[in-house]
Amino acid sequence: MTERATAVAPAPDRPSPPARRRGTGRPGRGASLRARWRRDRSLLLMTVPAIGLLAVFHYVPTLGNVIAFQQYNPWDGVVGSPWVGLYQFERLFTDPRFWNAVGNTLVIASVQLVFFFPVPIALAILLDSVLSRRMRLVLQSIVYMPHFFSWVLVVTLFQQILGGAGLISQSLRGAGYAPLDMMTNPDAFLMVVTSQMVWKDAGWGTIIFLAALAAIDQNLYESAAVDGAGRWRRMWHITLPGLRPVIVLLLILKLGDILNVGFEQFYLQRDAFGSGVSEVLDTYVYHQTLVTGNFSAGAAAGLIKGVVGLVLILIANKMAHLMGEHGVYRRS
Amino acid sequence: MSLHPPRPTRRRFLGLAGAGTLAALSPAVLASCSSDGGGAGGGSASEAGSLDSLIPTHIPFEGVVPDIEGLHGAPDGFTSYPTDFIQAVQEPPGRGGSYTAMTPLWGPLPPGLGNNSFFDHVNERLGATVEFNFQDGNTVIDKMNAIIAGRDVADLTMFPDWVINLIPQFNRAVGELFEDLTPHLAGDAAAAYPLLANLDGDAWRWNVFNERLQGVPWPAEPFGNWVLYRRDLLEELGLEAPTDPDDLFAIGEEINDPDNDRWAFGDFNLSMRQIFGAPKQWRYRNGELIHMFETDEWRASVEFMRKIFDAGLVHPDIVAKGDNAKELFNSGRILFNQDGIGAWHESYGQMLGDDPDFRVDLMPVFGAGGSDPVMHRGDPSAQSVFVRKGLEPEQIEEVLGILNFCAAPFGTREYMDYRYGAEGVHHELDDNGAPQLTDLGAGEVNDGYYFISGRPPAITESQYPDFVPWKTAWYNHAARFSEEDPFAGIRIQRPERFAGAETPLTDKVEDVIRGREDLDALDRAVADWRRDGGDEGRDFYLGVLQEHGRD
Repeated sequence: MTERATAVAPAPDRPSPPARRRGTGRPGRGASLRARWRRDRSLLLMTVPAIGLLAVFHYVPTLGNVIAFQQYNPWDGVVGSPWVGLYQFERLFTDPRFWNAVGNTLVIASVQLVFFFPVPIALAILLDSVLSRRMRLVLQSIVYMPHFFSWVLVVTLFQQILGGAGLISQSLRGAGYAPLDMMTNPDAFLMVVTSQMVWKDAGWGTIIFLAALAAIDQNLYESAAVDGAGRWRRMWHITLPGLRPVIVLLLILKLGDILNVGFEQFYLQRDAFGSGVSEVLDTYVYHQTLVTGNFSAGAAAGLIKGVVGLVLILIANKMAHLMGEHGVYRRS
Repeated sequence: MSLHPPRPTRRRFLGLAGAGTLAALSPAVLASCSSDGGGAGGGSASEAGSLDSLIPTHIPFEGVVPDIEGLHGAPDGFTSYPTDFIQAVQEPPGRGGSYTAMTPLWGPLPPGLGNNSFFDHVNERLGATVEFNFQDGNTVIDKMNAIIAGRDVADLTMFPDWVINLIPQFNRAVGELFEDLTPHLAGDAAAAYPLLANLDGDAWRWNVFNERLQGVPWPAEPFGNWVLYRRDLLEELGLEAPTDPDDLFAIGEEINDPDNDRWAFGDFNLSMRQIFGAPKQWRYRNGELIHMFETDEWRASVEFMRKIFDAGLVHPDIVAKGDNAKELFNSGRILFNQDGIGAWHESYGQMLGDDPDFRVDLMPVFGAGGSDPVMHRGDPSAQSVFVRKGLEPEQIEEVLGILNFCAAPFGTREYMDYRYGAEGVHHELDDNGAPQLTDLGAGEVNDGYYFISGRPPAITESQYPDFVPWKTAWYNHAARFSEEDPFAGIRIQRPERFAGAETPLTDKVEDVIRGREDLDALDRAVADWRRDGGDEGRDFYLGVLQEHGRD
């Protein structure tokens, strides 16, 4: 990720990234295939291990998706299992619980996008502005740390603080007030899961932005300061534009991933808040398919997720191009 | 038995047409004569009654005589350990072989082979090496589904019975993955393994799949779960154990004290079903099958649970489905909690050292509104051990020798070895001759060997004060209310749609109990359940009854 992020960050000698890309073309474009092969072969050779890994662990398993059109069972295998056409999809589309899960997933994803996505950016800028190197290291370690806690631990921690027998409720009881149980209240669900996510992963999310910040030419700040630009102006005109390609890139990736809000966090709290608000696509698939062993329905749901994600990525990428950004990829 | 030719039932027709249930259910499966029957999603059933030629001839082991006899199928009780342990296996059964074993474990992982002198001790007694790969018992079903589908089993694999019932088409998996033990154990062949031949016939029959003896059973106590309560704390408060649901509620209100971090209850939904008299699954009356979800008794139990949740008598962590009920119970922050009955002696093992007055008891069994409760019996074998297919015949014999050793019942030298390790190292015998784990033992001794073979169930932990008398008294009272299950002795693999329809309904029940939905929501949920697989399951189960001549 880091390499990719720095790769799309603007080169120091080209401070204003937008507007100039179109039409510049790449050197060597239009050269004959053979010439290009001769020039690039060592580079291409170097990609072979990565392509090999991708092929073995991504492309070959992808073929397994055919079971979405079967009534698959492991004992007959892909070859022996009966073909059922689109039955699995029909079954999903006519199940109100599937749509409930889709709805919940989209709501959670939107809330994440609005309330979680900007947090690491702000945090990264904040961390970057800490001048003392030692202090910055300490702070970074502290905000990274919760990322390494498992969801079980995070959920337990929240339960022990915000739950009906938790720290806050017991303090309230001690002071004679009514307790406050947020961990079983369906209305508080979105707030609780978003706070958990921010607490756990906001620090970790700063890594990419910090790398991008480090790539911004310090001379720009100095010249701007000389020209009389204040702190806010420098942030607005230098820092944020410097971060923009990375932000757009991550936003696109996030959009493609929008149906993947996570599994464990919701699985663990599903019964506490009730499946009405907390069932997401992944937990739906788990309960409907893996528990009853209907792998085909699971594959079908996964395929739907994949297709939706792909369409969203393409749209977002197009949008990025229209805005003059690189996006995830660009046809050369 | 002969194989029936598959005939096109409605189900099969739909399966062929690629629509509807897709469950190509061949009648051959129903007759328990098939090794290849049952398409995807179909259920299957095999009956235990007619399988006598496939199971070991029973050879009772002459061991120590119980002090308290179990009535109505309850386990026997032993109020003390014998002064001299019987040597049940004369020679180490192993020939130096090395085997892997996979079992679930409930509790912390012990140190592994190489760092664990308990394993070394028992392996030396066995004359072979068993290396354990423990799965977290709480999530074992997730793992086992994948392990089975990936055919990645150990030399010895233990499955809890409820896991077997949840794994789709286990009856097909078992033939492909595991060795047929019939030639080694059926009839008189089992005389080579006398401790295995000592196990109960019903438990053996339960391990016949597709006309083959596949697994080694773990004969179980009749009941798996019940409500445990803190008898010490209740007595401290001057209260007696409840005698009916209203009494239980009143006691709950009296002992509930959130200001002092004490709540009355954990969740005990399953026990309440039995108290209110709902069947375990189906009730057969006048030619009709009525599912538990369709009975008034079940509904009454849900209403009762709703009542105690509404009254705030349940600890908030449990309302939030936390998995810390054991800790809350042991530390006295809840006083009544449903758990596996085995949690009783486990909590004694953990708590009595620090708190000698710590006392737990099973809540007495009572009915609601003057009726008798209906106690749900577990299946005759609570878990099964399978041997990986592809071992050499000599290896299978060695493995069965190991399982024979681990089947040694209470009162034998071998039982002490595989349960408590070496005397003087892992345990010491107290003044009454009962084992007390040493610090080393507490860190290393585990249930691995205990889980890879079965032995007759018995109530034996006399090292804990009052435990054996209280537990036998409870059992001998409770066992008389055992339900007559119309499907007793028939191993049934549930049809996929029937199994799948249950999740939405149980979700709804959680919503109702926790006050997120009104009680009326149950009617809709049950109607949905009928439509989405419940009625299909009813037809299937009715077919099973007819096939077995029980209708």
